[in-house]
Amino acid sequence: MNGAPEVIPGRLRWRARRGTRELDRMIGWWLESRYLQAATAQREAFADLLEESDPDLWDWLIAQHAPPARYAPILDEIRAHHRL
Amino acid sequence: MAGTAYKIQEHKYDIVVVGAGGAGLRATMGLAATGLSTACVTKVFPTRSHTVAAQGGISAALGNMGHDDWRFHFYDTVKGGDWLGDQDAIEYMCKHAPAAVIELEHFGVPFSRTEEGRIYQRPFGGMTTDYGKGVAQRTCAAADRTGHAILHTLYQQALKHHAQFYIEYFALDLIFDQDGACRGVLALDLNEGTLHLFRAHGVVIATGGYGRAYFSCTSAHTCTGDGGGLVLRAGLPLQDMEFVQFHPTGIYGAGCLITEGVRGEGGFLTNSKGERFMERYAPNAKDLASRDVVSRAMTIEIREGRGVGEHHDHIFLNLQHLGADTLHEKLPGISESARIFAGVDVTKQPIPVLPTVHYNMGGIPTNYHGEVVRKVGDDPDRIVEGLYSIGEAACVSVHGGNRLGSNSLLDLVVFGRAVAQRCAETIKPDTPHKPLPASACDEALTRLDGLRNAKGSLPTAQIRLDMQRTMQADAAVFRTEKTLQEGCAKMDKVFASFADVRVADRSLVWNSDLIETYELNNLLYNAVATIHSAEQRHESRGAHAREDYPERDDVNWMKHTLVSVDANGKCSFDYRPVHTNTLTSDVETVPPKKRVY
Repeated sequence: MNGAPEVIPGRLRWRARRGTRELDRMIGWWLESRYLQAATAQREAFADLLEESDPDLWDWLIAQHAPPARYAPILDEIRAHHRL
Repeated sequence: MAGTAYKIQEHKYDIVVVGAGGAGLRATMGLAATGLSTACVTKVFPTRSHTVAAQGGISAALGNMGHDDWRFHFYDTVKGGDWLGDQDAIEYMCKHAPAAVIELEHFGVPFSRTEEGRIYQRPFGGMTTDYGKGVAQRTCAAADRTGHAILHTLYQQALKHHAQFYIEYFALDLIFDQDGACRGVLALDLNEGTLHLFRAHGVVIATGGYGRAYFSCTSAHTCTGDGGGLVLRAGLPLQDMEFVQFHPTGIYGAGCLITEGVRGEGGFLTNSKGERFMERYAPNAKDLASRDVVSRAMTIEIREGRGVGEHHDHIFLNLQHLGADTLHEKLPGISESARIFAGVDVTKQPIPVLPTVHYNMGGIPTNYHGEVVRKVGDDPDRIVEGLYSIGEAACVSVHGGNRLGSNSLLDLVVFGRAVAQRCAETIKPDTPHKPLPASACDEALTRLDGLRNAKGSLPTAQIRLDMQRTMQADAAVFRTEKTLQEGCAKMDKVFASFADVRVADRSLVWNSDLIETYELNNLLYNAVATIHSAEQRHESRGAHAREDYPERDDVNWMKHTLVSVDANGKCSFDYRPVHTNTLTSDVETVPPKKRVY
């Protein structure tokens, strides 16, 4: 590692743009404030999470349906931060 | 170009569609199905387009729940638009609505059903039977996932018909031939950082609205009016940009929508004195008055110093008295939205809300075939060869001065279908492409090189915030000459400040800073067009409410505004007459009268 600070990959930044304002904010929050501290497995799970559909993401976030287990830690962090 | 050579990969198609929301996908699949080689260029993955946020449903006079007729739908739409809509286009949309919805069902959209197995239809604001006498049940929904179901289904259909998708490609500029016909689009592949010229006999712009020009909007980040920017930069006008629909109850700051349903269940608005002020503005309907009436009342309260919060700049929506059970049962998701985005417990605290930009009635002027039109001499309907537009990006105009709920999804599929049919009639598959002038991409490349190396002093986010605050303050729900003139002057300055933008990242691969700067430029064009159009329209009609001209003025203003914006942000105006004629003798013109509900 050289001295340059690590930055959030542009690809993820772009794909964290969702179809709804609500998800832009919630998914965007995790990317901006948690991604760089996350372990590799967590980062990979987040990249996969971005490939999921918006209605599924919303239902998981408001606990309408249970998410796949590998997404649960990320979704739990988002839920906790948003007082859910 | 300062010695910088950009390599461009060329693709040839019969037609290229820009945007993959509901309108773009419906056009793409229809075009591909007719045998035209079709490319769809989209900056985000199709099922993540903003159409996904449309949960309410799609209107069509199927008559599944009782008596209905497309002529009633036609009447409602003309009246809802406050007589600014083109009645030929409205006839086309409402008449073709049932077929368009049945077609979606056949493609696989899982509409909610009645016990008899028909498509279930619910009532929606402004939708009536017998020309305003009864309440129509006309809106079809696929549970609360209508938008997503439509996107998913149309995307699968388009793939089935072998349409080619170029996903995460950003459209930089339109490309025209020497005769002024649109013959392609230059796009940047965000993933590879490579440039692609999509040559075609026609380009369909289906890029959606520009809600992000405002500080408070219900739109996703992606709604940046790219189509309006592309068209204005090409020297073509936009139409009726002053007509911006505000939803009364967006969450303050976050913009996320709290549905009208909460007021239907007894929720009410209060000002800083705790007063239920809607009683003064609409003694009968109170908090359930129409969107424009409520939004105007809230704005007056705030302007007269009775707003709530530290800056006295919003209003409270009270649901505390409804009880947790009612909220959970009748309004699922509302408690969560309020907790997430306003930090309030709706059983104990009011929700801070603000009229929030929701939909753009204005856009790229087209006829009911989706062909872009401009005014040339005495001809107000001259077709711009090779250029088409549909959906929220376009102004057909079916929504006139104000859109009715559930007419937006209808607009997408009906005109997506119409543009495909038109192209099938006018473009022969595999027609050879005429040569483009060698300089066709020069301007677009100069712009790219300039923005990529922009070394000014203002970050993109700063200019964007200046624009959003100006539009929110001065091109708002309620408008008057003084604030509009101040707003125009401020917006002109913000537009000019773009010359001093700074882009930090010089690469072309996943450079979100550069793409956001392109998007900002598109937004700025839409924003100046909107505020200057609002300043010059001296009447109140639909969503355009002027305090100084409170009445609709059909003698002088029953006409479409055409606005052009030059490279310096200077706006110039012209007008097209409203089409008061219908398309056929199947339905009669609705003559203008006062719009009362």
